[in-house]
Amino acid sequence: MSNEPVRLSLSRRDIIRMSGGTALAAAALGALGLPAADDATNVPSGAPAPQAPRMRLAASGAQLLIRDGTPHWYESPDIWAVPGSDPNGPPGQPVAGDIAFVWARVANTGRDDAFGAQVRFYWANPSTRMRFSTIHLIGTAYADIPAGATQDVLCLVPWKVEFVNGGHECLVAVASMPDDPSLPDLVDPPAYPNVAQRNLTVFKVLKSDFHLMVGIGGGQQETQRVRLTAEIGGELPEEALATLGVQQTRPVTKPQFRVGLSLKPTEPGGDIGEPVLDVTVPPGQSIPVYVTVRTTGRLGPDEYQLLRLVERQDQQVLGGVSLVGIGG
Amino acid sequence: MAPTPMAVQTRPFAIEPVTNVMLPDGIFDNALYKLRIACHYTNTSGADLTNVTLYLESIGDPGIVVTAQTYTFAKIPAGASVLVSWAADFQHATPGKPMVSFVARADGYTPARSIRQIFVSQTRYDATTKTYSCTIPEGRLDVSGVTVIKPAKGGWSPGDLPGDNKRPWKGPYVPTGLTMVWHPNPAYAGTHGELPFADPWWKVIALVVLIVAAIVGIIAAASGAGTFDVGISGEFDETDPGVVTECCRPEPAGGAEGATTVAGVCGVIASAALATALADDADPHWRGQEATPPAAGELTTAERVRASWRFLDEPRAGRPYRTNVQWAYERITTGATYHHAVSEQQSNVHVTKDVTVTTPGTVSGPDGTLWVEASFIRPDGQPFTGPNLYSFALFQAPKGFMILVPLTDDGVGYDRLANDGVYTGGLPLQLASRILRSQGQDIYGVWKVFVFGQDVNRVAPGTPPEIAAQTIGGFFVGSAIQITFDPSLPCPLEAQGSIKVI
Repeated sequence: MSNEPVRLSLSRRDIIRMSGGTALAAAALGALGLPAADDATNVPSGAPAPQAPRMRLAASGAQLLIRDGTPHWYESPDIWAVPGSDPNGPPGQPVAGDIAFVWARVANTGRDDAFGAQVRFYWANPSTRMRFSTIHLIGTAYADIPAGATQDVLCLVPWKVEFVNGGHECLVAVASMPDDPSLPDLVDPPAYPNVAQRNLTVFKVLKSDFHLMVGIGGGQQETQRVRLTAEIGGELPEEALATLGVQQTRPVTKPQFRVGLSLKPTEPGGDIGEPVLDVTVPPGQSIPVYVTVRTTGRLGPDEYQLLRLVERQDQQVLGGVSLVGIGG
Repeated sequence: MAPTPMAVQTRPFAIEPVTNVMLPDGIFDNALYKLRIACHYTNTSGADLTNVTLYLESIGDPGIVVTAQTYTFAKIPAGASVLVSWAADFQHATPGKPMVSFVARADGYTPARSIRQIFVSQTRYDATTKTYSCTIPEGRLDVSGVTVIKPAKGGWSPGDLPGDNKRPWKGPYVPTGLTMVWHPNPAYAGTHGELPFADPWWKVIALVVLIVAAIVGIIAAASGAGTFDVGISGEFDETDPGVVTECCRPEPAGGAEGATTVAGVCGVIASAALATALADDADPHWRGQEATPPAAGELTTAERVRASWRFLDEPRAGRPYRTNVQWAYERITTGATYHHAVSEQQSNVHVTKDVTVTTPGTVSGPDGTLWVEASFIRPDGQPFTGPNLYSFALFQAPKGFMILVPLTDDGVGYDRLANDGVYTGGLPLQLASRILRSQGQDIYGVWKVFVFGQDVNRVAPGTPPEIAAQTIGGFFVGSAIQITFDPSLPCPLEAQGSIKVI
């Protein structure tokens, strides 16, 4: 039995969005008996916290939303990076060793205006599940968002993109009002409409192998057995592609590369592992999985191929990392 | 919809909240923990804007912690510039040029963002070497051997102090000389090195040091340690041996806010004598560099300027007082040492021909409003207008307590017309009554009005550094208090208006 929340087809985020108000949402949640976010640890200390509260109750009639991705919540189109020194530049893939600025698009779906909403921006090494206590705060920004309006929010603290993983990092944004209750330690966008995650990056399909290390996070108290699957194909919404700065708009279904998953680093030209990997994660730990992409075909100038690394437990999607492959 | 036509057109500037003075050239120094990030936000369109909200969105240094605040204006006239500011903690700020973003939204428009840089320095004091050091991205300026005209003995405090961690301020100190050693980072080849922040002259950094030292002294007297870096709490103890006179000291009167403001103004006016003596069009470092081109292949590792000056007039703010100055420049390179010396007369260029102040003669209590209109006239007869000035007034109640009121030329609130050169402020007597009641005072009797104005550096972003450097802001071009060389009397605080409340 996992200590992670069970993913129902109807999330708290969905209920809050449908209810159009916090009080009603709270009542609905209570009536449905939805489980709470699992790790009731405050941000950012990571220290153990009381078990309650088990759901988010916004303190005002303003309801902040950073949209999840479709079909996977961790592909949010409302978070993007602008590489280089001009924060007003076009979105794109961050460059390792350089700086980038991070933006988030925050909507106020509540009935009251939101004055002084705080937006916190984080980066993290690719990982299927993340905790605030281990990801890296980039900076904060503020926004006023009238009821029913949407505001692009810029974090002016430069994100210094580290060389590890070649700039293929994940981003998290959290919007909150001053009196909002604190969040659990687990980054849980499906449960919290004001939290979004962008595990979405671009890589070039070259002759040489592409490597990425993905962390598989465990629960805090129990050993977890999860399955990581490499799924090739599918497509991204245009707005998500636009925030990657990708010009290629035609998805390719026939696989142009093979993907291997391994618990050990792979050698050039050697065995890259299988596209499905079962992983046992001891409590409180993160297991690195080495992802190798080996090119078998070629992508045209307007083509891209999507690679999704999806973590599941009992058919339930727990998280994932998505990569957009484009021609070299 | 189009983006809201509101913009922050020039560099935001620092206001120290205890003294309410602007730091020279708007530079923020992390020796002062609490500073306000201020800017003029301009309606760039030809039409009035309604229901305008303004807020600070983000700042590029995570060590600077801003308190979120939204300003709302029912209307901002076409072309008007409103003054807004945000409280921030600079204790952990890094010297540099972080960007700051502001967002404006008005009825009928989408939100619009302005991004500007601010300048952040770090001043510290080494008691062993009696040297102030100011670190900025382009290098470090060491300031030592500061000779001063000291005020009359006794020290200053706001009145109801001192308590724990509080000590009297021994200023104002009027500087008569100093040594500035610039350590460029990195050492550079060629005639000229990089200007501080790629904008102001090196002397402005020295001025920051002197003014920060003065303000720290005032804060220490008013609030005690904890709001500034204790590492900056040095004092000038080298009295100019060639000068026997002393200067005046402000009276500790008017309540905490009024007294600290008056003292802060005195500190800025006294320190600004340094900038006057070392000229605005090109300072000794620039001129010294010009006169001592190094040999090919040499790198300049340090530049030393020793300057001293004599006052031919008292250093009155807004007046073209004169100094006789001598300075010697020394360039130290990897291969040689070069010298250049100058002796000349310089005078204050931050001047006004006149400051006119208008107040009502009589106002009825308890529901009336005290107001003041002030115009600061340049030597050419043209007034300072709109965002070219940071101005405020002190209203002194009949029994002495002072209340600070901002003066604006934005066509908003008490101000009738934007950019007409008339800076206006008002004080509702009901508000004044609530404030005074806590002091055991009331509103009835004769009020005095004191007016102040500091010029603002309005150089457009992108201006070439050596051109931008010639414009310096933060000097008092109008001040109700002045520095004299008569220590027998307090520094004269002359009311420019009076209002009888009946």
